[in-house]
Amino acid sequence: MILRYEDYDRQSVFTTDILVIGTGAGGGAVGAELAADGFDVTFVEEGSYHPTSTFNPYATESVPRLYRDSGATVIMGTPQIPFVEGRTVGGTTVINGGMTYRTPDDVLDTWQDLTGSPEMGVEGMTPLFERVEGIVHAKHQHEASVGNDSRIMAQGAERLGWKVEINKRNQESCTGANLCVFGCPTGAKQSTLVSYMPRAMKSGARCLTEVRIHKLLIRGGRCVGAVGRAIDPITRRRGPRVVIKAKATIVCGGAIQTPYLLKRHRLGKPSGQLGRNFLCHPNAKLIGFYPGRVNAWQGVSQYSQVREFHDEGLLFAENFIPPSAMAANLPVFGDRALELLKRYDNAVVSGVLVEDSTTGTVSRGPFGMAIARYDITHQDHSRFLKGVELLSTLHFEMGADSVALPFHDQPFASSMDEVRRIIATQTSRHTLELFTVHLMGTARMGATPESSVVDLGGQLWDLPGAYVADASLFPTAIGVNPQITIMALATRVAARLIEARGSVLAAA
Amino acid sequence: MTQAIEPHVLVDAIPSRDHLPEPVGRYIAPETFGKGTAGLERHPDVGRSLARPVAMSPSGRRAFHGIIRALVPTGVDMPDAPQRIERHVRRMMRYMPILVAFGLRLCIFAIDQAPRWLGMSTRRLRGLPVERAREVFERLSHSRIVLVQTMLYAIRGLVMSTFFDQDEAHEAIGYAPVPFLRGRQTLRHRLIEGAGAADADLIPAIPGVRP
Repeated sequence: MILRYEDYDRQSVFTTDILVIGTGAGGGAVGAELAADGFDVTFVEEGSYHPTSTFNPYATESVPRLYRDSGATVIMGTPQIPFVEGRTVGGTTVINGGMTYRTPDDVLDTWQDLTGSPEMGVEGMTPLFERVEGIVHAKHQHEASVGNDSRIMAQGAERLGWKVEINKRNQESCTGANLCVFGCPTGAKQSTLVSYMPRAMKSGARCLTEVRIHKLLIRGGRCVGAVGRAIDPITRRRGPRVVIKAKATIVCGGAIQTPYLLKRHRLGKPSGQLGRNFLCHPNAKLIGFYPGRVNAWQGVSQYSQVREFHDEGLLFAENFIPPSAMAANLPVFGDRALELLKRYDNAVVSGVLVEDSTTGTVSRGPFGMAIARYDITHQDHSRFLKGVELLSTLHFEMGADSVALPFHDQPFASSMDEVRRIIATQTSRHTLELFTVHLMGTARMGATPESSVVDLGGQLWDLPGAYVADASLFPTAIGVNPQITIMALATRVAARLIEARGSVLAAA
Repeated sequence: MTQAIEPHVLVDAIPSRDHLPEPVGRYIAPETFGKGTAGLERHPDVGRSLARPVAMSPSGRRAFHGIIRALVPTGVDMPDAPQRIERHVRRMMRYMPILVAFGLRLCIFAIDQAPRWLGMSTRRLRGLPVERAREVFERLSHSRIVLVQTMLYAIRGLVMSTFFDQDEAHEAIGYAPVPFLRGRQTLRHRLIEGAGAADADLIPAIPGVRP
């Protein structure tokens, strides 16, 4: 069953075996696995329950309902990096692009070296990936879903001799509606809203929506649940206090909200790593404008990725967005904006993703705000400039007549010579316009309390009964879309709890 | 009232026809699938699905209307654009952290005063003709001060994204997502039922690229 704000006047204290805070890639997966194994599972979700039938193509309605803080979220630093994450049943999986890349082998080798555990290596993780991929239906797209922006990117890379990888996505019979960012309107994208969460519900789990957890309940040095406040969905004011008593509490709020909650209790002390090691795969958007109509809004987003420069930590992909989002990102206004948006049908939106070479931090700010801080390095800045030049080359090779560049002081170019001239002027990191959706690494997993926040089973070293199962666990950046890795690690956390069922249930 | 999980969520979970590594899913009859697709309509401005807009003083609204008039294109017939955009933005503010929403109010105030602190006029932005107000924004957009850039980015992003989310703006740029989305829903329904896609279902390739 799903409970919402109105329900908490009647009941505000709950008792459960497992409390899962969050319903996204981590929360959905760990909760569903445990519910299927017979645990009494209670999810708590800060957002509301918005089923597929309520999705529509309008930003003014989708963004407030589905995105944290109505999308007004920024990582502070040089430059500032806007980011988005989901706040709805299903979490960010409801609004992401649905890529299902496994963690690359070289990253897993590093994780194995860092943790000293084969479980974190290729062999240890492969069965988890297989299981997750089966549940979310990771597969290649049907040909009827492929649109012209995807064809341009893949064929452009082919012409330039660059390696292209066709993406697998978590989808069942996706037909390329290309509205992933506002919730899949066909139900094809297998977000946790339509994959893990229904499974959990069928196994008897319940979900308390519209509750924000403020603190963990700690008794005798052990976590025995959490306390939150209901949030009125109409006024957004705080309502009744909600208490959930649990034998194990799994925090799955993502790489920003998870450390925010745990830092309240000054946890992670042995290593000092809680809230550190913040990774975000910053990316820059580049829009190619073509002489003819491309109609890129028809057809799946990110059919493929250009992997030629993966060794240098660069990845390119098309990533089409609705006109409202495009208008928000173009540094123009008035009739100039209309003139550009009239070429919406001629545009191909693409992105340069850079694998992190540095880390940031997450700390607790005032008024319930988490403060994320991240400064890109000069090396990353150079890589962005290189990525922008390469991606511009692809667009002009495919016949684009101009490109919109991610530099707020000089945003347009109509030839490669002009692109190079503009890039040569980009000496400051401040003029680079970045964006991200991949937030990772703030409660890293590891083999010792001196080097990590949680153990290899996801349990906090300094708070028995409290676990983490989300992107916070990543010891390093992974260089690809993190959804499947999060689900796989959450499945590992669930497996460990299942193995320890007796002691978990006897606890508290 | 306790809300049982709605059936359309469950029917969305169409299992793959591929073999799952372990039979953890439950097969849901595909004939019930149709209930799991989106309605696509705009939501009525009542009820619980969207929060109530935050309050804003009449003076704050006039300042915001001045900013909106300066930012939105004149080439789209939307006479009530300031009122509509203001209402949407006030609703979005309801979802933002209190500090961010407060910062947005400060941005509106500061930009309204921009003609004065830029030395361009003794009047506030709201009192300037649209063309003159746009000159103020042009000046602001060339600022190298990070705070000014951030303010401009936030206000411009909110106003422009809201404007280009309206039906009139969609029509002006030739964007009509609903018929396409309905077609895709129907196609998916057919694929789930086991029918293949016809040639007409492929998205037509443009000249110069292969299908």
